[in-house]
Amino acid sequence: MKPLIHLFRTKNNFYFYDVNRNENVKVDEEIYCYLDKFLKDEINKNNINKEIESKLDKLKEEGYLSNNRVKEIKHPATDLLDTYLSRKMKMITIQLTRNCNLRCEYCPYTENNGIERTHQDSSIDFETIKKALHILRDNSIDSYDISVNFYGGEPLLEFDLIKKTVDYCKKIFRGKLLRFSLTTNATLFTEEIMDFFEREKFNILISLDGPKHLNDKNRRFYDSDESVFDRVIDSIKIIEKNHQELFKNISLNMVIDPTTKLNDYLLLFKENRVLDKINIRTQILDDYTEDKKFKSLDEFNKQYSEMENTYRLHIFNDEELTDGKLIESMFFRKYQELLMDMNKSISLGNTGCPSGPCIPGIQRMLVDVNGFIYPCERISEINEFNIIGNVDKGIMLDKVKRILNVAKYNKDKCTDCFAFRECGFCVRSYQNAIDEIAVSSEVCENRRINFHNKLVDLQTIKEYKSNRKYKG
Amino acid sequence: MNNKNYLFYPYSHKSYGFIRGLMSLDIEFDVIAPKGLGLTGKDMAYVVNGNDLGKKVKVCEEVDFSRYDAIIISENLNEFMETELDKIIEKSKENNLEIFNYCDKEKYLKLFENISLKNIKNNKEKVIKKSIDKSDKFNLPFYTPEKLIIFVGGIIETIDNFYISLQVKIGLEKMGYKVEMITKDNDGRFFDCLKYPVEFMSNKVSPEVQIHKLNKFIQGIEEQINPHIIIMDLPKGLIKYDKYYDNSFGIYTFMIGQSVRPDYFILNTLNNYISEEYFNKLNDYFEVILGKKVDVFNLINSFFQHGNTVKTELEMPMYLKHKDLENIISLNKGINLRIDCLYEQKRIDSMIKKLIDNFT
Repeated sequence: MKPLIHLFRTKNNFYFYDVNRNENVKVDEEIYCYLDKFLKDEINKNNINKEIESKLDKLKEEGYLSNNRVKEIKHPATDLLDTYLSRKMKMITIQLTRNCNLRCEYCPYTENNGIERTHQDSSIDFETIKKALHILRDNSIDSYDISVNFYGGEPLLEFDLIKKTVDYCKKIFRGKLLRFSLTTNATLFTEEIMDFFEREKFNILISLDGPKHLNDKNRRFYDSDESVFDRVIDSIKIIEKNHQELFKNISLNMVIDPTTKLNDYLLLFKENRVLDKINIRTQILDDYTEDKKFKSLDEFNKQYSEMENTYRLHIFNDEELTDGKLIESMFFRKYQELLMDMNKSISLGNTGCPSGPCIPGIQRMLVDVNGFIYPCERISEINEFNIIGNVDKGIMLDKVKRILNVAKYNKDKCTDCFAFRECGFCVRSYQNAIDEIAVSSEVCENRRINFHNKLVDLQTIKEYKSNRKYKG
Repeated sequence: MNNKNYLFYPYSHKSYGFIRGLMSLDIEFDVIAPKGLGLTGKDMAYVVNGNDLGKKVKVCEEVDFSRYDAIIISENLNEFMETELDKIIEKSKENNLEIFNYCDKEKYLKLFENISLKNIKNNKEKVIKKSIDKSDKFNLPFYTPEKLIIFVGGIIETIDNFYISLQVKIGLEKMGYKVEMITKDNDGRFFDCLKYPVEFMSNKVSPEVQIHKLNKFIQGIEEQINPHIIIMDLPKGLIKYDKYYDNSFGIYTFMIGQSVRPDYFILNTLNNYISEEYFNKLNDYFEVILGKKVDVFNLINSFFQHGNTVKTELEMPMYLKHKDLENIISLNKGINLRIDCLYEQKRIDSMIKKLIDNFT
């Protein structure tokens, strides 16, 4: 069996990433090329290089170039799952309704290829909510705080239910720290609603996709041509003026459309200073559509690279960052990870799990309008595989185990993959297929490319730091 | 104290050591917990996933206050219990319960205004303070303690530090020894424990002065109270945890070790790091900073996922089943060090007996 490594190079140097050691090792070009040939089965008894082999032997003695692969896919939390699920629950997301007053272009519930539900005029009833909250209360003994998140469709369509639920939570979770949050399109705010959220200290996540022409391109009312952007900005301004405490607890979620000009997103902050003090998080729209209508344009990609370069110069050359709000939201996390470096290890061991799966029911938990329980709100609600329980029977351990160890369905590929530690796959990555549990090759390959790029970035940064000269 | 029937509020995992202490002293009591903690109607041990103790947790509304003589208000209150606490104090007053209040957080003190509270300060501390002042006045040199000193501490600070310290205190007292216990937990005063001097761990006092003060405090205990044994419940973590969580770097352990050296050392250790190599390395480390290797590695059932989550889980770790720890111990019988799991009374009693045999 071949060593579990991945070869890569930066501008000036050559490396291999050792999966077992979770470490990048610098080698000279000769060794690099030799290893490349070896991995491609191009080394035979006629072209063995004894000198290089001796150097490789030395590396092996130091614990590198191991051919060890995980034998059994098993998430480390598997054996403690019953304890986690009976004691460490701490959060719940309640799908108040599947209805929405918008029809956003990229929303999976607006249009999909059958892998997800669509918008429906159905809402949860209060008895179902109560049962779900009882499950949370009875299984959160080791959690100091409880988070209740309201979701939809558009949750503000069921404001009365929100009020009822908050009141009920305050009764049954008496003695614990309670946190409420809400994800909303912010088109249905009233003074009463704002008052309530401020009083109950809600955290609000508002969806806003850039300046008016970009936001309204994809986010539209179901039954009118009114500007969604105008309605949202007006609400934010009223909150800023009349509800300062609530304003502090607002964040924006911005979905960036890669078929547009990235620089245009900067206009949002230039034209709307009210957003200066609001935290934002951004994500580039993932093109899941069959007709690839959100495939990123070349110009977008170019502007993306330029922005990243600007950020890099800010981090490493202390250059001033203008338009920092948008750029920081796009790159902060990536560079935080790069600066943190990797955790070195001795070996993968015999049992392990590709990184990615959170513990269903613990990190997140969604209850839908019918009382079914899912690991989170991002996965398909029509795929029965994803159901981990219901409000009558509670969480089912076997179903959680299955999802936690979903990589078992992809075992052969996963255990042989250099991105094993970092791929970030969870059950969501297995969503495109309903009849079989499988990850698409394209999705897999994208992850491998991303990880490869991360390795290159990591070493490039280190090389830059070691070559840097003090200019003082 | 022993004849009274007590109520205890608010019951939570932090009070597990306290109620085990009450049980060891055969004190009659019941515990109340806020409804939202999910403990109502459950056995008291459920809060730490322990083996049943045979007593259920009550909720305020179902308690007949007239059946009790006194109520203990723990220091472990939080702001979400304020309304309920108000009701409880009212009911206690109506039924003439003695009120032992160990919560000294300023925001709750107004709830106790105009209420007669049992004296909960330890008078011995005044006497010790006089001794310290005398040492300072005569500029006496650093003191070398003469009594038996027992350290109880945890790799990470958990509820087990207080629990084990208190059990050892009670066990030794039952054998006829005079024992003083020093702890940072205010609730310990109920059991006549002393608190660390106010200067220790204060950010207004230099580390050097803190060490001197603590040393003089020990001297004061020995000279004024003259116990056979002093138990020190070590605060905070004993050693840096990893690159994600500093665990106070073990700073306070080091400082305590400078002020006094232990004769016996019980270490509460996590259940997911068990190997002879690891324990030997810990021994090497503690031998340098405390002058003492670990005498007992006590496996605790607090579970922390990994370094970058410890800080958020510190307030409330996940608790594994007590009986699962016993399996872990039997799997590691080959380790040539003393490993134990001190949740059962018989194991504590056995450990205390061996401790005394060591020194007699």
